[in-house]
Amino acid sequence: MIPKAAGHDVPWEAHRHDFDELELIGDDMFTLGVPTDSSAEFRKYVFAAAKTVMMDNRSVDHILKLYGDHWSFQSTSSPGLTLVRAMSQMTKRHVRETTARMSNIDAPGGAAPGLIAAHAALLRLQSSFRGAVLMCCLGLRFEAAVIARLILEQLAWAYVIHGFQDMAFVEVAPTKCVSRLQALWPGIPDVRGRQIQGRACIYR
Amino acid sequence: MFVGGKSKGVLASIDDVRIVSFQLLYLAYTFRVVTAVTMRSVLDGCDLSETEAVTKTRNASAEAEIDAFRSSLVTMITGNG
Repeated sequence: MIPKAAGHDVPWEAHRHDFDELELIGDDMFTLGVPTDSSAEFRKYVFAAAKTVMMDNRSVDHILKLYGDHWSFQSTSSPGLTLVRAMSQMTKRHVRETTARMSNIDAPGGAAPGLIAAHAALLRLQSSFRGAVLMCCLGLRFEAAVIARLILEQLAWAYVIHGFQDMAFVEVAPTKCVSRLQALWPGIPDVRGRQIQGRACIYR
Repeated sequence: MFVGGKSKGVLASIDDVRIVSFQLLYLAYTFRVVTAVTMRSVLDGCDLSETEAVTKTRNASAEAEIDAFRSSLVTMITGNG
């Protein structure tokens, strides 16, 4: 039985993180990704380790002692950002679970073309969600809103065409499907048109 | 000031990345709902026709998802989870 460190995963366990979970630190020779919720101390040690390698040195402690006082790493957490990150984590979790559920479905023989197209469109949405979450975490709200609109229309399109028994679904415009989805799922966020009416072109 | 009235209100609502982030979360739940509804025929082998029974089942699925959404939000906001 391998013991588990208190409050942590086993020390040698490694996870792949998505870009929205990282912040980049570095200098003109290297760039490192650190978790967004990492402490200033953690960033300092990681930076020192990279600096040690880049300077062809062997002692991180030595490099820290020499240069550590010159480095300052601020934690970027704020209540607003923490909330955005928490919501992003939940969004990703639900998308991941839903996608996994769909991936386990074996298409039955003779499935209607509309159902196959809906399945493909819904599976494709995981990439759109990934992009939107990344935009949110970067603070690019108008860009995130544009992708949110795309997601909404794709969801509505998949819902409307899933019962089609022929290829007529190719004539269905996603922009015309949202009202049908609203009938099923009230309270859909009004993401349409805002980035067009908005001041996206002049405001960052 | 050339932006005002209705458009000003619309802009204010998107002026914070938290709003968009929340919308994305809601869309993620919508994703669950749409997937559950559209893939129901594959999962349950039920008729895809727009019968009253199917509509009722769909609404029930949507209601269940709404409840899950609400409780998850409460969990997230209160930090009990």
